[in-house]
Amino acid sequence: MKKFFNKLRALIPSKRKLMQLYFALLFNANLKGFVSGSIYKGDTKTMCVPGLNCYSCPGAVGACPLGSLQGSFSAGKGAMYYVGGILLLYCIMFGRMICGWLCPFGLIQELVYKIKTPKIKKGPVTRVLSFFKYAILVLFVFIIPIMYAFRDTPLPAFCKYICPAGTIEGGVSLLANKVNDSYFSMLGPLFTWKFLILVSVLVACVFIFRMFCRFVCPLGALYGLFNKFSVFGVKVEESKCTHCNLCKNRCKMDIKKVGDAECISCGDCVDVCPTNAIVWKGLGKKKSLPETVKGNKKARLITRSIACVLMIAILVGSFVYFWNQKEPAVPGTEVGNLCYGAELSRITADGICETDKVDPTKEEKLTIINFWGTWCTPCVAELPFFDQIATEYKDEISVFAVHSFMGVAAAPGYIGEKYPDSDVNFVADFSAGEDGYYTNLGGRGEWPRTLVIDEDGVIVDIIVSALEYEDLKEIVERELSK
Amino acid sequence: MTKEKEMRLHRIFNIILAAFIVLTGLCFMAGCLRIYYNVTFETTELLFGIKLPLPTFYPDQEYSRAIVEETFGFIAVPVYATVALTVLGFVYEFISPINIKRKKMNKDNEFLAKRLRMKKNVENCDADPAILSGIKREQVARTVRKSIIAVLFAVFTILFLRYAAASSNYTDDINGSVINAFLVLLSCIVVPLAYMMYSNVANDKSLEKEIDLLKKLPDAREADIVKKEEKEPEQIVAVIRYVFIASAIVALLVAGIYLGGYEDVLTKAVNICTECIGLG
Repeated sequence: MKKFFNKLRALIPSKRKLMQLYFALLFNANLKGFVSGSIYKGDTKTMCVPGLNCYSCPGAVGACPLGSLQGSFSAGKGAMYYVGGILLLYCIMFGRMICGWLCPFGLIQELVYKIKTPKIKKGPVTRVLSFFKYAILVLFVFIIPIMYAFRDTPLPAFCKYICPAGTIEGGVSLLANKVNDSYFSMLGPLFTWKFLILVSVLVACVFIFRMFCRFVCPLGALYGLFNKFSVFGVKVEESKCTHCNLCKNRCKMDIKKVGDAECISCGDCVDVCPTNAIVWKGLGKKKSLPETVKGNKKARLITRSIACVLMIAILVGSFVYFWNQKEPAVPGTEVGNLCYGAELSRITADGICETDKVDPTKEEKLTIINFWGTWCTPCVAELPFFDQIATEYKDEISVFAVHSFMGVAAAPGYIGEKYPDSDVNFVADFSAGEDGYYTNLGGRGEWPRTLVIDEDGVIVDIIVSALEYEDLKEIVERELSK
Repeated sequence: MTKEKEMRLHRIFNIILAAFIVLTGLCFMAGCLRIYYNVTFETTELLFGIKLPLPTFYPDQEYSRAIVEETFGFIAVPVYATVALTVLGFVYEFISPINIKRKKMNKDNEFLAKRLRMKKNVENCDADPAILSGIKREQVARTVRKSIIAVLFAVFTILFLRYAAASSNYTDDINGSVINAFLVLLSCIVVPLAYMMYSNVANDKSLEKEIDLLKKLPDAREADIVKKEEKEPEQIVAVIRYVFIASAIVALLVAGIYLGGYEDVLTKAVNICTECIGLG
């Protein structure tokens, strides 16, 4: 019986595993998003969470630091300073302890590694492969987004071409909900490529401990650079160290020394050190926080209980808070409905004209309404095709490019530079209060989005994906021939 | 059941589960590619009247929930089998846990060599010149390998940065430009990394050789041992470092908030980044 209870006790997750689960739930506390199939749009998303957690996940309540960093290069100095400050704060406070304790994708990898299969242990090859993530950091997180930012094309290269967290947390989660069936039409070569990467990473993680963290993750690479100086983490007290190497042998990461750039401060080495030379930084000379509480076992138990209750209260409170957040009302908008009309301010190179307003549904000819933003790469990529179509069918159709009310300050400059004499009607989405024209036409946060309405203002087509010139021409020809 | 038999049984089970996991992964990949390339299998008559289901590619089929469900419906069996085996694996481990064999301990050869050099006072040692030259040779070989690594990294970094900094390499064909940049990065990184792998293995062997040679030397007298005291970095340097970084953080955050950077972050975060989640 005692053996059985000992076995059961071994199944209890470690403190670190519980913390990982706790923060994974806290960072994805918008449970309503999984039910409704839409992402959270509240103000908490101004804050970046420390770990790799895609902000397109329906449950995500914070922004992804990596995605925000890549996006900041095209957003402007303000965003770069802001994201840079947050990242520097995380780096210096926790370093790679974030990977070991706070990252949801790290938790997924560790859970998958628990499957009972033969494992590929670390060695000289894996030690060298761990440098590859620095190359990914430099190329996909800095060079490519910066170079394309100079071309006014926002391009989160790592998110777009590699990140498996985005595919599983964002893509698969959204597609799993039947409400988002229209998204399937957007799937193509990019999704195929990312799905293959996701499956490869997950299968590899079964055999290789934290394969993504060790060889690919640029966020881990960035945090690792500050690991030695971070306030919290593990370190070796050289005066007590006998260099027995038990710590390095126990560690599953490719460390050369405890606390170096590869160390995720999981604490496995702390338990195995025979001379207690490995200590937690930031907690003084004591080994663990409860031991700093002067007093007896009872005091420690009370402190731990209070901390547990507080943490559970915060988590449950978050679930309740985000569940009760109301989404703006979305009237049904389907093909065949009369399109919702609104007076929208024109955008020119000089700015947004509050006195010059136009309603896209009152054109009395075939009208294409495209929702875009300067911060949206596929939107910016397809805009030239709308410009071309607008010029080609100048007398027969009207083309409206409705810029999101978010980030609209950048629109006049962009339009003045790229489309000074365009036949496209550039307008700003300031209508209907904070909800916006976009939301009242059924937009659920996916960009770009295009509506086609006939001369009576009835919706004849809704496209939720980027369009090529040939697609647009086909739509126009089809509708004009009716 | 003996311990060896139990270990063997665990090993066989683990290998079977590993095979199922790899098979399931391949099935998922094949399913995805089958949808994208719109592969259907049609019975085709070949030579001598032999009929075989051969893959046929149809262009322009889009993803849809129905097609995805139909395609992945076929791989339900291996998936369920893998899940069942995984659960069985955990139950088996719970009922009959195996004692993990103690693996060979890797020693800290660098520290050992350093300690032996100090103990034997190699610099002032009066021993067999062949042993001393052997030790020197191993040290020089390691230094040379480290220098070669540094040179290789420097050269290939410069080559890569020259490519990366040229704006002409970033065209409107975004996918093509990114693929080219990645291929250039791979070609620049493969040589230094490959040499580094060789160097790590060679340096480990070299350290072991040096340790064997050092052990052959006589111990130096206590008075002759020069203990190099490692100076701990001064507290003041650490304080200055943290003050500097804290100031930078505050300055960046204040500037970022003042310039509206948080709004830009919010803009990106509240709209589905279709490319980020593979919708495209």
